Amino acid sequence: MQELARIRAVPDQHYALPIVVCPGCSTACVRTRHPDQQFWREVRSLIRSMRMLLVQLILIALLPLLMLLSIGTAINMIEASPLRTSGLIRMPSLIPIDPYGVSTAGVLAILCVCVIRLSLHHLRAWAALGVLWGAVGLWTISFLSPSLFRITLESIFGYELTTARWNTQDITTASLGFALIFAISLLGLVPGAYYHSSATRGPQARYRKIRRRIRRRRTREN
Amino acid sequence: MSDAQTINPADAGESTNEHIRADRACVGCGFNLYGQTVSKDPHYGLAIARCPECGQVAALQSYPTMSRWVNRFRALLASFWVIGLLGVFFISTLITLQIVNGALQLGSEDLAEELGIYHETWSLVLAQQQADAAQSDGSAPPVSGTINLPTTTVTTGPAGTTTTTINRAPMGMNYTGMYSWGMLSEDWIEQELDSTMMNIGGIWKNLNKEFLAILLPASFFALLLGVFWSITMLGARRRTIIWLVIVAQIIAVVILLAMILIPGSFPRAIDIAKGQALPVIMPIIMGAQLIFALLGVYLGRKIARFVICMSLPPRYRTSLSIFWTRDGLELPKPTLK
Repeated sequence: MQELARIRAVPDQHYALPIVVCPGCSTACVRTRHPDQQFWREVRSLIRSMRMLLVQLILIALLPLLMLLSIGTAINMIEASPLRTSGLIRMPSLIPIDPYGVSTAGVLAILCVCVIRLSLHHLRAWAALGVLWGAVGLWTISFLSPSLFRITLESIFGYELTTARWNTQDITTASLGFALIFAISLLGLVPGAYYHSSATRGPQARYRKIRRRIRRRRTREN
Repeated sequence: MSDAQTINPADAGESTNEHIRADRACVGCGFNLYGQTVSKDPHYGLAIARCPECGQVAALQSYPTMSRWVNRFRALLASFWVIGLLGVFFISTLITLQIVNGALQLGSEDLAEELGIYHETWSLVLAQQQADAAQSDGSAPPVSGTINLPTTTVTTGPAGTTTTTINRAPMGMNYTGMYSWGMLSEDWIEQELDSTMMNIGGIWKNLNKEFLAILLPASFFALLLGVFWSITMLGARRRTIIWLVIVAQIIAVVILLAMILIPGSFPRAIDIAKGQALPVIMPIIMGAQLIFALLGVYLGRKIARFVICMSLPPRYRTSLSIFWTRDGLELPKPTLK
């Protein structure tokens, strides 16, 4: 009985199989990866993927909430801004302008875009931004859906409205808040791209670049 | 033709009169080597089989040998998986049942109140009649005072709106829902229930339409459930998963019918009202749930593929490639930036 694990399995000249020949009895066999090892390798790989997926989904779910927080601050700012007093938006001033709050909202929006750009680095910038704003839209719909559903039912069955009525001023202010934060969030793409490139810059980056260049050339040729 | 495909007579090997008795795909071309002759190769004495299509050699002896523990682990994991899925099936059926039950409870509250009031009035009138009969027979002393029956006041507002106020004085208290939980006598159910339902204007008119608000969480839950089954039961075809969803709904319906339609010894007004409202509310809620569950089953794997592509870089996707291969699709290639 001899230990064959340390003998290198050189691809043989006849069949190109990784054959190990026992030096003691000259018995030949083909080396394969151990099934146990292979099984656990697959399991570990699956767990790694699932963990990554979970982290990404948590990020995609939570970052829009921070965006909504900054949108809410922006809406409050618009309600209390000179726009309202000039008559463009006629809303009662409930919350005074807080410059710290406004700047925090802007920084928060930029930070969210940076993080999403880094975490979804395999997507293009516009796609990552689309994912973030798509999730913001889904959260907004989910927050509004009970009211929307109720209003729909009430309009179908002709009940007395029990939910708060929306007026055009609310919608205008909310739209302005969304538009303002969207514009600010675009600024986050610049530091996002910088951090992305610095994160991917490393010893393997050069080879990645070469491989990418080869792929591009092949695609062009095809 | 490559070297592997050229069968040299010297490499043909010594035949062993043994044949491959199981499905074994050729690593070169994928041809099934079932039935191929096993031979001893002349160089190493290895047991090999050659692919008749491409000439690729398949070695039958390999090291290390297959471990039984792999299959044991796989069986163990599979059994845990099946138990988990059965648990989810059981719990989801119960949740479906509770959603419909909640809608029934909410929808039939007004009807139960009406039935309770009618029953109370009927009982008091019956008691009065019995007392009068006993008094005329001389078997009971005369009763002084009057019976205060529940009354309904309808007021018309300035805009033509009507407001109905029920005076619930007979029980000495006056709050909404006090008659819903009162017990109804079997005589009244037999003699008066149908006529009462006609008098109060039928089922739909007396339903609390608030129950329709349950459609939103019910549909969302059903959609999630459909997506869950579509993702977790990758071995099954879509048609099978649809049947699974339908079976869960049928089980929920059967349990609900058993709960509501089998009368207890002391039927309450709310139970009777739920029984009356069942043919209206249950099809609405369960129909919506079924539609959204089927939508979830149909879109589940597509949603999963989209989420994986969106969230994971290409090298992490390969472990989850079953979402593509199961439906005969190719794993998407990484896009060039």
